[in-house]
Amino acid sequence: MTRTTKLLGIIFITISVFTWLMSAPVLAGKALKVYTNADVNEMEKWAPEAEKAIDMQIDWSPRMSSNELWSRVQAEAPNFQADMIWGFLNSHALIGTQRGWFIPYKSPVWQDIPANFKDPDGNWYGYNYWFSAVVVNTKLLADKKLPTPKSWMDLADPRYKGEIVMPNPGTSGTAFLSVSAIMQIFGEQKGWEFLEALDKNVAQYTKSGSAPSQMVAQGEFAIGISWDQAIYGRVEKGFPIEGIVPSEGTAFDLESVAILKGCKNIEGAQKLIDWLGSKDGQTFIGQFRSKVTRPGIPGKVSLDPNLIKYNALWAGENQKRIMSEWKKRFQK
Amino acid sequence: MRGFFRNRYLQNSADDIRHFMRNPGLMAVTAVLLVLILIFIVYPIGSVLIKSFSVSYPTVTLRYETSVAASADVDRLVTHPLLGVLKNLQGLESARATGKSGSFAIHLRFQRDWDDLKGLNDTKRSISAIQGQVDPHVRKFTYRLGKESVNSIASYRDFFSNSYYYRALRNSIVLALVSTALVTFFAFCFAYLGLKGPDFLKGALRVMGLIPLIAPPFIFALALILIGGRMGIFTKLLHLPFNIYGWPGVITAQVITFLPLGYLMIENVLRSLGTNLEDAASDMRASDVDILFKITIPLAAPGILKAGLLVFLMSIADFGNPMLIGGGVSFLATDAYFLWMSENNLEMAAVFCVFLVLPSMIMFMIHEYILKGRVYTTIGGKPQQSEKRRMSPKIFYPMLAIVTPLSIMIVLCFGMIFIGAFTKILMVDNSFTLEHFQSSNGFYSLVTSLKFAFSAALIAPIIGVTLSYILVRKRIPFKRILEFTALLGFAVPGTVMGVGYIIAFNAPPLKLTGTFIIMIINEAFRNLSVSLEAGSSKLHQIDVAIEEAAVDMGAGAFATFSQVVLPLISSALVAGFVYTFMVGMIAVSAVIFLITPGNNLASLYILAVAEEGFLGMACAISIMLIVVVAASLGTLKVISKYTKTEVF
Repeated sequence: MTRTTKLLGIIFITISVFTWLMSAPVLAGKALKVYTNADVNEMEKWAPEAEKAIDMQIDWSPRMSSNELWSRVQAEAPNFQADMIWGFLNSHALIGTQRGWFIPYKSPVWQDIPANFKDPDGNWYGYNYWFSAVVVNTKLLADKKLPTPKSWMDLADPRYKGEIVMPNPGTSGTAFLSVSAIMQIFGEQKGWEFLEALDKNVAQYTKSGSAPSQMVAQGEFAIGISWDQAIYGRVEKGFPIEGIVPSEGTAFDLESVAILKGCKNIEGAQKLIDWLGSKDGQTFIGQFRSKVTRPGIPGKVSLDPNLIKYNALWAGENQKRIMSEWKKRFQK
Repeated sequence: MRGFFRNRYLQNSADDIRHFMRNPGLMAVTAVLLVLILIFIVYPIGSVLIKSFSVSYPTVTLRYETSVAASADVDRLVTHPLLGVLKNLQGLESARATGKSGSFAIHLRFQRDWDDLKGLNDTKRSISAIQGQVDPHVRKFTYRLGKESVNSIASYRDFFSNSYYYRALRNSIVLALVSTALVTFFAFCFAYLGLKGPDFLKGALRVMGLIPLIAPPFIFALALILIGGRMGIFTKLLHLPFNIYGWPGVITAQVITFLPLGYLMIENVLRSLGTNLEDAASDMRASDVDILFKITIPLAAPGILKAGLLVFLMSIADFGNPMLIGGGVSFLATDAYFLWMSENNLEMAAVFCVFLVLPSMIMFMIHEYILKGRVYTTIGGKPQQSEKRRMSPKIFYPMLAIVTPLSIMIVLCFGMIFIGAFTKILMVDNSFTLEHFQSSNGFYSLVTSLKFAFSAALIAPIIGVTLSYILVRKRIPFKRILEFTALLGFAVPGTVMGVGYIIAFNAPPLKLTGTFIIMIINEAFRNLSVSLEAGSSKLHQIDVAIEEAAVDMGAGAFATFSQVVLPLISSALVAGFVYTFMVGMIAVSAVIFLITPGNNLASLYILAVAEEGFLGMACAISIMLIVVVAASLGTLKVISKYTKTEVF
């Protein structure tokens, strides 16, 4: 072996070992692993703030839409890969509680938050709530000389063919919330008829509930079904869009958090729950979400939308069946 | 006659076994390698196959104890009333009563996609309806949820009876065939023009043909969206009524992505053909067009076919492009992912994997065992001295016309990625910005990718090269099987390895899902074969006499390997390292099944943000990824040239 090769070899090995050592997980204190359905741009702001509050690093999951997240949790049960869920559908929180997948925690901070926003045994807590809504690009509608839709039924109008973008209820919590709301508003049979008509107008189904807002904002589609903050956040940014709550009413979901069984960082998880219910935490979240649950703390939206009496438990129990049916009918 | 050959084969095997048994060191190393390959390649793939033949039903088991003595009485007073009300449950498939002497159970099986919690709650509600009737006789009710796995071909039946399942198979195969045809067509033109055309084009063509290599495979889908998506510059500026999502987009993206692969292989073939026959034909006054179609192409055919098969394999396994620009069209790899991700339907995902593997296996077999060695090369004893002939205009201009649009497209794609990365929102707000590069999560995912690729690249060459040494130099029984299984990891589409790892490693004793380690192992074993090939080719260049000399001078087997052979083939180790690193940086189809919080990879992050419509951020991270990959590729080329190791 020549001298050069030997030298190169030694340098190479040294660099390799050095990099290998540097890349070993050296954590100053444990990290908290969370699953979340929050948007990437939300988490990029929330995580650092939360990390400051609980004084611990937070590893958050690559962005999963609500149903993807729940699917993953179901697949992993009972050996979960994360410590807790920071943000998932309330329907799923109810189901998870029934299955005994969560570690209950009675947080003292949450005592003065109304009982309907939390589980009586402390299995889950709802820290903000959001509702699904329709988003329209006013400029595009004007260009195409289309009237603004005002109700769910309006969306089935053949005039809007090819102009609607909607999340896929199979993956997105927003879409599933909308679909199950429609089922609860119109009854199942009429609900399916409406969805058939709607499907004819839908140009594309996206994976996430926020994508339609982005696409309508960017002018790719005229109408989208999305959720409140995805819409209003972009209205603020100056996009030519408008959020519409359908006249028949819409469903809201209580964004929940829960500690998963087998959690390896109970202290961190509890601290996070405490922070999310505290004045500071709620005020912070109130800058991003329409409504928070601690009384007296404003969210971004002051209007009281027309919310139906949404049966989250029914939604959770029948999700599989409805999704199966939806796939059979509409999966392209 | 047949008996004669068979005896010979068995005799050789017997010899091998005897020799093998006498060498404990060799046995140990081979055993270790065999176990590793069995666990991390064969076991996952096998699990997928088994899973595709199983079907699981949610079950609710209701246990109860009674104080009634006679079993006939129990039947009358408890079991039959219970069954009577339970058999009307929604979604029930079957109910079965068992038990004796005080302790009984009713076993309820529900339909396959029924929600088991709903079944449980419905059961409880039904029983509370007749609570009063059975209460005095029953001591307590307990409920248990469960899952029943049954061997059945029901999943396959479902696959063939539902169009939204089998059309994925049809679409994937059609896509693969179309892409293969187009890629071989274009690659041939690039290679032919570059080799035999005017010199000034050579460099440009080579660059065009190879530059897509530095871009992660789905980057072109991203670029095409920027060009022809609903807000694409072409769509907007030319007011086109259609957009590029769906078949046109996926095909175009794949053609650009796989062009370098085809180009490299076909250029290699054409180059090694030599010009003797063509010159002879020309001397005999054959026209250039005739020469092209009657001599060059037929001679190059097996090589072209070989390239085509590889492109077919890559196309069918492609995940990123259909995901980004498929527009909802069903393809095997992406649909398998959604089956797992949003429906948790592992059985059907396994069926999809089986259908992914079948065409790949067939193509791979043809490639390895029929085409190997059949590539026609003209080997002359004397160096070929012929003047480079001018290419006939009848061939030159058409080929130029074919090659130019594609080259422009490639340049345009790269350009769009750059523009997209520095523009706020393309076609909506075209102001310059650096904000896309400031995503902390994006940067973090890049670092994770680096760690991931680096670790996999450390493992793969060590195992691969050691294996190559054993296979090339040592006598062990059933060599072919070991070689085949090692190559299996490479031939099988990433999706299959991803699903396989989830099925295989989700439970004790090898519960590894959710760890960083399992991702690394997955990537390393998928890319074993490249290190294997590199090691083999290098070993063939080294004369056995050197090792024999070492043995003569008293070196043991291990000393020979570590002090004589390893230094000589060290370039294969390095080449294997760099290649595995490069591939690890852009891995998508297998790892997407294995990522967990804190372990996000850059390539997957790009997919996620692109899907949400944040195209600018996707472009920015892509550029960073391209830089890393280009650097690795450059290193690989330098090593290849410097040490004359063939990696491709």
